[in-house]
Amino acid sequence: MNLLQQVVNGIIIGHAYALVAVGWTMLLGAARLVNFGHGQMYMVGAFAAWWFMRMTGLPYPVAVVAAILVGALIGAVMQRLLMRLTLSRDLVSLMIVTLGFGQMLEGAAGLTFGPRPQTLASPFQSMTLHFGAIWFTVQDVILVVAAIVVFLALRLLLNATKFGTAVRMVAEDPALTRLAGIDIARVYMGIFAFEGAAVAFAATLVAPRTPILTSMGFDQVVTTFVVVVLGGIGSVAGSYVAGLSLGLFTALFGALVSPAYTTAAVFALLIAVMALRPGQLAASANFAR
Amino acid sequence: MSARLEVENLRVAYGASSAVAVDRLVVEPGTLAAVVGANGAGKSTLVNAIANWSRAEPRVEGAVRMDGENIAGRPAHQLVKRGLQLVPEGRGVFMGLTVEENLRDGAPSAAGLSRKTYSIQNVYQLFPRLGERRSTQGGSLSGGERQMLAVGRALRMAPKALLLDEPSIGLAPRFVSLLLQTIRALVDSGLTVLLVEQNVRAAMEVADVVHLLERGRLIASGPVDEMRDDPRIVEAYLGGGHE
Amino acid sequence: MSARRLLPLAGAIGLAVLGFFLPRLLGGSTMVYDTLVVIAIFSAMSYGLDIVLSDLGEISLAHTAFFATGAYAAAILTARYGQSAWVAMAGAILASLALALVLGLITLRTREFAFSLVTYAAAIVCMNVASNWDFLGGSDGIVGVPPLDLSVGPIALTAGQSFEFWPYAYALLLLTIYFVYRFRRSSLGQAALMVHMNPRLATMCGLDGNRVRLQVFLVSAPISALAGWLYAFQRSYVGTDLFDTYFLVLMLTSVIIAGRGLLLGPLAGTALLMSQKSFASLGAYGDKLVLGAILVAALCYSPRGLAALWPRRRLKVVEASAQASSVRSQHG
Repeated sequence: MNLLQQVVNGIIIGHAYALVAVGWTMLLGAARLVNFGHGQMYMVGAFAAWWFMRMTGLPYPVAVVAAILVGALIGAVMQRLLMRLTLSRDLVSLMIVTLGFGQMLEGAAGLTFGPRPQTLASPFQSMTLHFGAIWFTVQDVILVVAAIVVFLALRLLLNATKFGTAVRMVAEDPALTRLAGIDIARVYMGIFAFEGAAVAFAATLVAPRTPILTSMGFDQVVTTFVVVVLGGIGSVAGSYVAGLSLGLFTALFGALVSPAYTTAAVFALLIAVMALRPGQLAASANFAR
Repeated sequence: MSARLEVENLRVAYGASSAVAVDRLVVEPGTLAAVVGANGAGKSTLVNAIANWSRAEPRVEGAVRMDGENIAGRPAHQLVKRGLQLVPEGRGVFMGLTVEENLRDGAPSAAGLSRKTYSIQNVYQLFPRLGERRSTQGGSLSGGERQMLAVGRALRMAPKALLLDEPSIGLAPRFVSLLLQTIRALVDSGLTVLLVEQNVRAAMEVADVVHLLERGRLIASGPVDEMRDDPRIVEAYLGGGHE
Repeated sequence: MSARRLLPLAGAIGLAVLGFFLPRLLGGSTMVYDTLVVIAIFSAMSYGLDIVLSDLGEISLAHTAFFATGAYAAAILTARYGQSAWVAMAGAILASLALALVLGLITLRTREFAFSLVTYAAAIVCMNVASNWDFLGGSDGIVGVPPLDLSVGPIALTAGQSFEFWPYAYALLLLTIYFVYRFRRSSLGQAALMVHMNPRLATMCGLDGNRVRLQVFLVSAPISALAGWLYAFQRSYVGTDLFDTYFLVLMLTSVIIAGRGLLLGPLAGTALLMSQKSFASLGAYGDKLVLGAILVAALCYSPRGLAALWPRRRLKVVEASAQASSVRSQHG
């Protein structure tokens, strides 16, 4: 068994986890909102790209952009629906609404795209690169690079732009942000749209690896949740490191123990962390760092 | 010349209990009006209601006018753009942002504004301590510095009317008089201020007009010289200022 | 017994009797029986979630796992080991208690969104395990669950067809509702409400918040598990589709839509939603869409449930019970 290959796999998967989680971590850190529809939004992102390619015949990169736009739109729709609840900080109802929203997406996707597994065909998926004992695809490289770019860009956005500062203000104290003359509804809109766009983007890059089904997405919620918790809620750098670590963990676990029970193993890891560091689930003071 | 701020028949309630019932309160432009009263008199509630802002969910009814224009019910962030600024009690700065960041963002563009604007440099001139600590996080500042920063942040919004909710709380007396003297200087150069204070003595040193609030109702109003000898104010000295 | 207490009791009994004859009154077709049996079973499942959600104030997303645990226990014990339905019932209760204990201990110190996320993740992990473990039938599930046989001695109590299941499903429903009714009046139920409404005050009244939470969680699991137990017989097949979020959202919506804490709320909600699925179905995906839309609409436009048209009444009931329990604990 090629350990080095597993490490490479782990790094690749880790970047996938981090990228899938980045929108969620923003949403949770800035708006205290748990998006239970995250998995379904991932699924829709993948299918949107697939459907777009099928309908228009346009190449994969264009489909990726289209999926990102669809994702942002879904995020915006969510924000409109949830605005009143978000402003009244009724976090419990917000959570359940996202669960319902996820069901709606699943139903709509099933109706639109059908129950059969499909393949999101990226030309880069079949381009393999070999370096001695290890190999990976160009798709993997794109995934890793994209994840790094997104994280750096987000870090820059949050710390060096006006909108980023507004996001940090809203994350800390929405009421006070209003006094600073900022329309917090618009800030939330940006955050929600980012979540939609980011998860769709992640989906288009990761989905070409396996067949896609409209019933998929659940495992994504668990791994995303673990990444966010391990990394510290709302911490950008933390999510990246946590994603990477988790990727290595699942790759090695899958290779050394059992590939089928990785989700269970990830969950067990989460429990262990929670038991050892109960404060991990509190909102991090390192928001956006 | 219309009053800068005018409040009429303002009723504020939390749930079923009435917190404020003020029939009429007027603040003339370029004056410093102080609202004093004991703990729980409803001073914060009153001033929050004027700015249409709160950390709770009160029910507000009544008319609030700025320069003759009705502003009641408008979202707080729009009122800010019109020149009404509130420095709330307690947390008035962002702990996670530096002094510079707190002052930098959110300010309206100076172009086209007929009001006096304050640049970041102006704020540092007013409060040199902030200038010295411009890269410090809000959470690492002392209480007095945070209060200065909160006022500085408010000034950056180029207010026509500034509402201050108990700026002296938790501050050393030296700081209190420094802060209030700075406020007075701003009023002398044209700003309109409504100051809510529990520290009656300090408030009367800088105010032009004093309003006394008790259990949500305005029971006395008048120029500061008249009010100084009012027995009810004296009672507020004894009743409100718990040392 | 005074007339004032006798009247509601008589009314309840009358309603219960009427309910028993409901399928016959609605035509008695197989479809009617099937729908009503399923409504009864799913309502019972929802009541398990109800006491955690309405009384403890936490959104548990693990009750599909309890439901599935009951079903799998029933299937394995009867189809694989040839045990009786009574043994299967005991097995379902014990298995769900074990799972609830594990989950309860894990989530002991978590609150709100963390609690919900962990329970959600736990349910997904259970699904994951059930799909892969041969003992649990893997992705094929377990077939060949025999007809329900609760015969005791000479009294034959079996059910193989739809209309035969109705008495058992209805009995389960009635027992569940009665249980929840008693629970809400029990000291644990009152304690749960106090911990929910004002944790600090509850602690000062001598209540251990974490223990109360765990106990309520443990009490709630067998309720859903028993529903699953019966469901295994009704379908005679158990598979991973029991973990589908459709059931989860169904439970949540039925508990929330009428209004939290109403005794017959989950029943009404489930009846409404299952009727749509049976009589106005838009296909599996269409139904998911409709269900999700109902949940979203209900929460966005009337977060306190449809019964919030009478908001004052609910608040008085809650306040009264909170006051009553605080008075009781002061004198207790």
